[in-house]
Amino acid sequence: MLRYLLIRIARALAVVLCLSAVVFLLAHLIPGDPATLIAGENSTPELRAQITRELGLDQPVWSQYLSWLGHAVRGDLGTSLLDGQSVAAQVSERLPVSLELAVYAAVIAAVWGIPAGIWSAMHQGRAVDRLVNGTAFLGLAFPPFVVGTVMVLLVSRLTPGWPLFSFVPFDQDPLLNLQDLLLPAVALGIPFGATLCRYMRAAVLDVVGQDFMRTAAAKGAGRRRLMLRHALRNALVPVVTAGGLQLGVLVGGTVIVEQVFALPGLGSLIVSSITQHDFTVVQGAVLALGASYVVINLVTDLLYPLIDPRIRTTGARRDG
Amino acid sequence: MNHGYTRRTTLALGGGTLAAALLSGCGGTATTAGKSNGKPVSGGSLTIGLDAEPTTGFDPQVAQAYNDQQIISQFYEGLLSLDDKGQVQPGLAKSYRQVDATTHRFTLRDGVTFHDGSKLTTDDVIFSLERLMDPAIKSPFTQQYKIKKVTAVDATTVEVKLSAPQPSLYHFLARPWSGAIMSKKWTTARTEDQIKTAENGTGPFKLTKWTKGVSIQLAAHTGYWQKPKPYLSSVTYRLIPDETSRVASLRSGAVQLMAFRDLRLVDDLKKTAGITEANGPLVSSVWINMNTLSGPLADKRVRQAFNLAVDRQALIKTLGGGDSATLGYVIPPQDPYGTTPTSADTVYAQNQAKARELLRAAGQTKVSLELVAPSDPAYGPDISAMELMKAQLAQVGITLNLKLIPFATVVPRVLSSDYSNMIMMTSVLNADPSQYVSLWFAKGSPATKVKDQHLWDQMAAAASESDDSKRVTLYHQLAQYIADQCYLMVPYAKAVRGEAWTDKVGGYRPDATATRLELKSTWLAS
Repeated sequence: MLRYLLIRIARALAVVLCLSAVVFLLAHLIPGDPATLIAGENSTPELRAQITRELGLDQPVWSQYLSWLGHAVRGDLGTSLLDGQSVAAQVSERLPVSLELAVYAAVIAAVWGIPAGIWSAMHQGRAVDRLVNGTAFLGLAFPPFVVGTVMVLLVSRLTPGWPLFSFVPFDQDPLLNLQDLLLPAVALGIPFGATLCRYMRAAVLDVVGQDFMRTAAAKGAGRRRLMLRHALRNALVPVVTAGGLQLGVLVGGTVIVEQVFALPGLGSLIVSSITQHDFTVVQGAVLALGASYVVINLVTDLLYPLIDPRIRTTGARRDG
Repeated sequence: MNHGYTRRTTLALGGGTLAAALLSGCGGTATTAGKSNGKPVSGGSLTIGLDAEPTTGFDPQVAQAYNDQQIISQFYEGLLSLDDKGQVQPGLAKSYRQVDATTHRFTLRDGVTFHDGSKLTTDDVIFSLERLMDPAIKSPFTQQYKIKKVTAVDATTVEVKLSAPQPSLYHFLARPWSGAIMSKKWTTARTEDQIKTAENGTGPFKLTKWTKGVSIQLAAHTGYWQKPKPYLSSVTYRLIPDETSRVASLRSGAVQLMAFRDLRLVDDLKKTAGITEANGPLVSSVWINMNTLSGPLADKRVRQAFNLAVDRQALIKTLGGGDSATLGYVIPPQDPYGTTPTSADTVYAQNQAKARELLRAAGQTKVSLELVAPSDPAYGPDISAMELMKAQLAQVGITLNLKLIPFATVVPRVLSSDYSNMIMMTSVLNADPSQYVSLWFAKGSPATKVKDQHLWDQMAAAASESDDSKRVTLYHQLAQYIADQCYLMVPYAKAVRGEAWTDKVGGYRPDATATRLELKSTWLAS
């Protein structure tokens, strides 16, 4: 068990390290010269050279990377090239908004997706099943930013009183905060729920056909007990895997939805820093986003032993 | 002469147009008047939809992004100011006069206070102008000025000595960023980063809170010298980067005023009841610069044929709603030194037969040319127009290859002359007309793709002329000469951005800088 834990954590760390290198190189591939951006096109070459030196941009890339990494592991992501503000402070201010949005969306997704999947499986082949399946397909077909934009247009015309573009932090007014985030969370929760719904349906159907279910039924277990005690517990492992992976995707998906709903999350920070060529902020923010993806996957991995007792004893994962 | 490369184009995506400023003379204000007329009402909180956060922050003297300037224009003021028609007016100086060619005197207004309550003194003015010239500040405006020495003549008069005559001096001093007067005590007590996130100007509004990623909140400066302005008690800039969302927020009433970049929205907004839309001034000329030093475009006949092959009216139709003008010259039509566009239409009205004839005479019936242009979404309508132009050129035997690259790399290419045939950029309003021509044609500049002493002589004469009406004539002649030689093709000029506001907004007039200089005169109907 401990071995299982340690391996997972070591793997996660390795992924974050690789990620940091990719993030750093990517930021340097953004076209445009930060010195020109800071000093302006009508600046003198001497001034631009001076700024380049001050920023350390005249050093070889690997040496810039090592120096950045050295600071990053100590929690120092540098300062913004443009306004000199601490990147770590900006990221820690924005990340909670994105994570809250992702969790909110996941809750909405789970609330509709999992019951719909079970319901659909229990009525396999009937009209209800086809309806749920069709809805799930539609949900998958519309990316969150399309759903979001359509919602913005509809809400602004139909219910002008709705606080479309307001944002109040959770610690200031939790209720208002949940209201502000409702529409973006729904936009993200629709496709996510559709994925969960389809996984849940397939998993339940898979389990229902197995021998132990027949045995349980033969022993006289009721339909309700059969479903909740025997089928769901076993069907949950692949759903948690898919859900975990999708939750990571969800955190990434917040980037565009935040832009549509003008939310101060990590995504909007990334988009604005890319357009402003603020390399250090892009690096820090993408690293934080990537790291949260890795952490979510790690947590998912660590959840398996709780759901599936076999992993606790063998350390092996039943399903990938 | 001064090379004066000004950042004139828009940054990718949510970026800003830069360095927009208006000169004296006929201003390019938008034409639509607000519907809320009548008496101004004091109080009221206005919410403005903002497309992008400030880039470098609130230090006015280093701010050259439009994102920064549109907020700074509410915080800071210069010795001079611009009215809504773009004419230079007294500002913090109640009067000003030119003593000789290189000496100017400014008399300060009484009762001007900074937002921290301290009184404006000549010390602050001297400090601010010296700070502008200080290389350590890295101000993009430093090299536009020829200020040598600033001294106090008495308690309210400041004398500015120039190293050489500078016809653009008043225009630069009149802009809230390049002419910003800052408090000496406040500024020297702060680090560069602190100056970027706070402010202490003399302007109508002061900063109350900047929540990054969400909003910038402003409150009226109760000690503002221009009583009873400002009428609004507070202004909130709400950050809504997505244009569709921003328009939706205007419709729902969540914001009452906003700007938009996609002029195709104009038609849609026109149909919406309760919304006033204003097209911005026509200050965005599309410039296609030609390499006349090598390749097919070295032959003037090929350049002429290129111009004659194109139907400019058809190009404009692809741009969508809003006003556009067919041929601008190098200086945009609504710059006071610009040429009215109508006459140009006849100069290069489409004539494909003549275009073919010119190509035959030049011995180049199969010409292949590359046009480097920005790929960013903000240029989408222009790229559609270029695609149409490509089809029109094909009809006379010119093959146009469009090479789309990110805007951020277009400017360096222009400055280093890194393109084989043509490159495209768009203009915004500059403070001085010499800046438009210098960018493309300055003698000895690496960006210049012509070799023409006559052109350089004309540029030098126009730049140093101090009589304004003569200067206008000289720039018209210069622009005509450039058009005749086909050094630079300007297929059309359009507005950089439009603005829209709800019926509740009264007294608002857009200005050519598009930084809302007249927000102080705006009120909200209850």
